[in-house]
Amino acid sequence: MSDRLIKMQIPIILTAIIGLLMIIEFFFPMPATITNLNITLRSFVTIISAAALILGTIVLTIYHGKKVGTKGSEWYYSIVYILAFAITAGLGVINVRDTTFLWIYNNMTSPIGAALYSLTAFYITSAAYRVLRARNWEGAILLVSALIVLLMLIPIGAILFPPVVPIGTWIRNIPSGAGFRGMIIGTSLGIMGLGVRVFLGRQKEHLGIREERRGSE
Amino acid sequence: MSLMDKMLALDQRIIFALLFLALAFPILNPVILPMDIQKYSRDSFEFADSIPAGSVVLIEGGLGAATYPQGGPGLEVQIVHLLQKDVKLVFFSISTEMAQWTVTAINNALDNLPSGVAAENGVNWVHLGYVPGGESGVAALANDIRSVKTEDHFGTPIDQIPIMANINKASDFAACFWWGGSEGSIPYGVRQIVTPFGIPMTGMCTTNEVPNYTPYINSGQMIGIIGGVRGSAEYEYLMGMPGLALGQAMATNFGGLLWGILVVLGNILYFIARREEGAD
Amino acid sequence: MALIVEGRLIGLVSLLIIAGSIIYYMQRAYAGQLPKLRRLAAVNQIDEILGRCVEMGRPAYYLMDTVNMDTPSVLAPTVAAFQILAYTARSAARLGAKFFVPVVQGLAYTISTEIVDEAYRAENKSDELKLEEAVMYLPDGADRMYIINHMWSDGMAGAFFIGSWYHKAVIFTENAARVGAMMLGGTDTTHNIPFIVAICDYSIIGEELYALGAYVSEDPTVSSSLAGQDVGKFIALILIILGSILLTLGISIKGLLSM
Repeated sequence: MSDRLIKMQIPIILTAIIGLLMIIEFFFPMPATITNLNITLRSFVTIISAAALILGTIVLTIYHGKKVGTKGSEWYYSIVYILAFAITAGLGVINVRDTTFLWIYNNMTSPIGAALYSLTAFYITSAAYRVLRARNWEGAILLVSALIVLLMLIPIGAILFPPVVPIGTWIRNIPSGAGFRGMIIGTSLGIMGLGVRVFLGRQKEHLGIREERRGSE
Repeated sequence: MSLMDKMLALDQRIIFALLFLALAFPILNPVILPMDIQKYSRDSFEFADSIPAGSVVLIEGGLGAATYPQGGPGLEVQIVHLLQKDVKLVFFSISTEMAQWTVTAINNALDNLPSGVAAENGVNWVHLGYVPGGESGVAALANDIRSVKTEDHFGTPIDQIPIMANINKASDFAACFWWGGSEGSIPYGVRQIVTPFGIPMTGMCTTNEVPNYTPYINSGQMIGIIGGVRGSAEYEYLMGMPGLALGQAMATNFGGLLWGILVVLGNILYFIARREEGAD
Repeated sequence: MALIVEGRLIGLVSLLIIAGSIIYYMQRAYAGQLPKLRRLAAVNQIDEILGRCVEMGRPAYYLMDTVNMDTPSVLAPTVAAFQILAYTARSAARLGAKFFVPVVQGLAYTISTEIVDEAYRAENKSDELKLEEAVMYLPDGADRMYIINHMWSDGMAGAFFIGSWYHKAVIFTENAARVGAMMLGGTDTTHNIPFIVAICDYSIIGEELYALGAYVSEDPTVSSSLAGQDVGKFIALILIILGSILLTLGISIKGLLSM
């Protein structure tokens, strides 16, 4: 089989067929054969995601293994990774409901995940201090709106300054809501355009393929 | 570098330290301050309160490790609320991690249930577990649950679960509660459950996502929304079950005020610096 | 049995009209009739940022945040991000900029590796590319600390934040701003667009992300599809105005729209 067929044509044809099957099933009542086929295809998503996770883990483990082997920069952290991976993966493989495995997940993985998520609050504050300056009229409007909506959102804000509730609600519902609606419409159209280009095979960069410029000169 | 320039380009570590102190103190020593209940939260609570006894509702448990602190307390209180009203609950999740966190929420809610309230797995509630395929999985679930799930999260075949006897599609539910966390999946529920089947729906999302869903609320496709930790705190308050969310929401008072003070200070310094430059 | 599933007729008609107009404009472009399209400034901004990186001898980072391709709302912006990555990687290869692409999902990692490798090969610069350092897999969660740490230690001069951005948007953009990098940000996740616009030097929002993906293909028949999307916008505009007038007159079209 030629390289072009495998790398380009087969993925494009598969994408188009499977995508159209899903779209058709959404709009038209389908016989059980098609519905069952689509259910099977959707379950492939789970399997491929799991395989992708394993692939990424293998790549990362090889990378850290090489670092330890060649004593690259900060190679000792790679040992920490390898040990943590070996212990957690080993316990999970033996029994995913094992109490030690669940203890690691509940007392280490989850709190660390929550803590990393909470970094957002600190960076928003830092960004707001640096960026929210009334350099011009638009900046001033943004600043005032942000302060009003902030006061509306904090529990005590409405008690301290009652007018922020109707004004902030108006800002959130009317100009902000209108803006978001416009963005949702635009984004949906953009996704449709992308879908058509990908299904027709007109855009192939996401397959790692770049063809030289074509079309009318 | 003058003091003014240093203040305008304040090291972010100082900002982080100030915010940490502003949040840590009220979390460790909860300070309960007066709180106004937002309309969206009240609408969502009243919607849940209006579900008739004996109804079966669908709940999407979409909270993960990162968003459980915000929404978890609210979800736990809502589970207690609905079980107290003898509403039957069918849970599902669109991610494996979130399916596990839904189990946590159910267990915590059951621990806080007043005695005498029925809460038997399979009779009063069931957790269908992970439904693969994202929005297309939700679409398939809404049309035919048994085409997507043959057993619940704990491995019990669906046909052996009493609560699922007459339940097989979205139209069999009285309402839908979509605890979407930060996964941006509330539109899945609107598109696949509300619009085609006309099932009323409310939901939960993180605070910064609330404007995203304002169009759905204004058009009537959603009934209120529980926004972040404040929404969860308001639910706890309306249920008369103050808990973790209320404590955290009180802390956001101090964090939010510090945020506002820093922004105003930054602008004052900016204008002073600009005037000094103009004078030069 | 109904021909069309109940409640989906309007959706089907809309899809056919919009997809049809996109295909129509692409076919017209094949025949030599190219629509007049506004040039998207972001195309030049990519080269400007990479040029700055070359001048300063510091790397450019290309970050895509969430790349879980099994989630439909993430898949589309991720595909657009890959398309823009192809162009950016090729520009980086041509200009000689150091390029770093951390990825948090295995499937996206393999695709990114292919794209960057292909881009450098197209510019005959494969010998300048150390693929395992240029494209790196980082587990979700660990990526934050690693990337922030390296932003400071590398003294990154340019950054691209393209794709489906969630809460990490403000973390990475704020750090990049503090490091002094020139940034181009683009996402379609509406609640993070304000952060990207406020913090990044240049931004592409919402559908501009997909439009940029079309532009950078440098194929006029592909970028002509944007004219078809604009047909959808005009239809939406007409329906909004019509709907507002009808609702003001007390005429509800809810029944019609839920056919």
